[in-house]
Amino acid sequence: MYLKEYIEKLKTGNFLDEKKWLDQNAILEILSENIPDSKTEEWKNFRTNPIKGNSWKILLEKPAKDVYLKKNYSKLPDTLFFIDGHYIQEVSSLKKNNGINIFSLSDYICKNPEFKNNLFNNPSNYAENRLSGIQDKKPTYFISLNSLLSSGIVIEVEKNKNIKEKINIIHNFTNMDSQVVINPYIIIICKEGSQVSFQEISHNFDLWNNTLKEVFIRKDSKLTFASLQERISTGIKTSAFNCHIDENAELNLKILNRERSKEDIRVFLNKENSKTNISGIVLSNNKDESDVFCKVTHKGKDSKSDQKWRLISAKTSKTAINGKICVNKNAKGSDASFYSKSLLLNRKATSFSKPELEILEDDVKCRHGASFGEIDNNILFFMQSRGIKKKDAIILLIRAFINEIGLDIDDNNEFSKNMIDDFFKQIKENNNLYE
Amino acid sequence: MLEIKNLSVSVQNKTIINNLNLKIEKGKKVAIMGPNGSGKSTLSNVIAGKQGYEINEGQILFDDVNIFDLDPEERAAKGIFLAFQYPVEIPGIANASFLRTALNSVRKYNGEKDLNTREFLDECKDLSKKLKLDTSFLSRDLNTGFSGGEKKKNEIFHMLMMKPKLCILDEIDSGLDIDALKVISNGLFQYSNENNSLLIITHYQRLLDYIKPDEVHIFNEGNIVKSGDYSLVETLEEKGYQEFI
Repeated sequence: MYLKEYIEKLKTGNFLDEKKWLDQNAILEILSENIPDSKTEEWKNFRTNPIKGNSWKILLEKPAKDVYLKKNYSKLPDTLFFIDGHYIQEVSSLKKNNGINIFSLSDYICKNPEFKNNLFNNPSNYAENRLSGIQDKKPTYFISLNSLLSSGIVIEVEKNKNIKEKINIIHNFTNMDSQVVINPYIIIICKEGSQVSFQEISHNFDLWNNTLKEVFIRKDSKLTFASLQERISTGIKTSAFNCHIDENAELNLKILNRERSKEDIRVFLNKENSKTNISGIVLSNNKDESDVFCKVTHKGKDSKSDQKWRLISAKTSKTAINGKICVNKNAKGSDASFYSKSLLLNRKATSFSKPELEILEDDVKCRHGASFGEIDNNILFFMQSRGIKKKDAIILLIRAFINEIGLDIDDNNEFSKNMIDDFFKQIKENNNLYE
Repeated sequence: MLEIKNLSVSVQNKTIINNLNLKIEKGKKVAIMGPNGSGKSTLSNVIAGKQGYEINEGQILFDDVNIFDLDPEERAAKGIFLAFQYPVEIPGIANASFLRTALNSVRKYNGEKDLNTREFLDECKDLSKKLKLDTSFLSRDLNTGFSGGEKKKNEIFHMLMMKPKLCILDEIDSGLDIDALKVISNGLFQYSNENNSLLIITHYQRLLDYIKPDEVHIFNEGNIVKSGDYSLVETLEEKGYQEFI
């Protein structure tokens, strides 16, 4: 079914009985508006024309068993598999009784009716005061779409559980139709006193992948979440990560984004001593864009946030980071920092960084900065004079640039290394690796 | 080992080296002294292959091969080492890891196998003790946060590990205290033998007091204006450059 057709039917019919927590009229109203474009501040560095110019088809059902069972999936332990945006238990390998429980969102809301109030259910309520205080609902188009089309999966970490094993979330794609939009929707709830690490790997795709993650880190709990995106050949990725952190709780977020993607991250430090460390690598090649909007809102006293970003643009591509720190009234003692460094590998490559501070309280510490540069020819000469070939020296320097922030959530992580190597392989194919 | 014939070099149409002739024999220690802006660092950069210089005339022969067509890494693989006046900092690459990459790259060029990691690390540790460098500097990012003296010692450390045929020291003694100078001089003593050569570019006598060069040349406006043995250093210390330029 086509997306437009589905939305028209919803307007007249009642297809949404199973999602009573959604404010259906508000969502349909948002979806009727235009997809955001470069006139919207948060979207000015990402071309949405390929999304606008397509008649998208939707997949409301899970892929057929014979489709996904034919494939040989990775034999990783402790893995949750999502195929075409749907959680597939049959190929997942998460051990039972290890302190993690998986529910469909409907089931979870049946058991915990009050939880629906935490979730995205109305674009108007969910949209926050954005830049210059303008209420800008447009970015929620994608969240609304996801919420409308996806049934959602809840991953709950039990109270006081310290889960030693890293949990993998793998996104695979069987659907070869590039006109399809898929909508993975994952909700993670770390209950009080829990500790867990997730590594999310999204493989290459040719379609439009519109994801939503909503994360709740309860009091005294700690979540490490690494989200790694493989090269996107012809597809488009729009994704939202919204995280709410309670007292003495902590989020370590690690992001590897590739070209043809737009990431919207919102972290809310809701309570006293809540904390987040965000490190992200944004890579872009050819003539594509990779754009991140990341906003950390300090609401609790003595809350801490630290953002470190590294952006690399090759050929005529563009990377962008819009990093906003907002310290609300009553968030005394907050400590926040944002720093981005951009590396341009070509005179025609571009990078955009916009650190922003909005401070509404006294007695807070906030730092921000951004730098842009090319590879230093003096450093290159130094390395060459020690016997290292120019191409290898450039790769080594890019690797060093990335190493400054680190991505791995453990010492033996091959995924992030392989994904970065793939980027190097891609840019090495270009004879003019650095111009 | 190294022979420079009628070399003229300019930058943006300004002549920096003017019809220079210089020969460095195997096993010899040669010093070049000269006032600021006389072209000493340009000479070291041109020998090592840095881009950005216009070679108007002449040849540089290393082991009887003209090296002008070789990239800096190929010159390094053939045995030319430049110790930098201002060693660069590279955050994100550990010192030992960088050095191993460099050594393996040179070995690959020369058709040799990669280094044995254990042996490499043992040699690194032995050498760092001799240079009075804390072994932690092996795991620290290359020159990042190093003091001026540590950076210069690290250059000597790289030199001793790479065992070049020709080592060019571009003001290795600038900014060093007496103890650091002694450590570096000891390192140079350890390196120097009848099979390799040293080209020492300096402003000061004190390093040369330790090294005792076989030849001393005074450089001005891109050429040698006076040559002699070690006694020339003493004369220079006494009378200054004005006597010769």
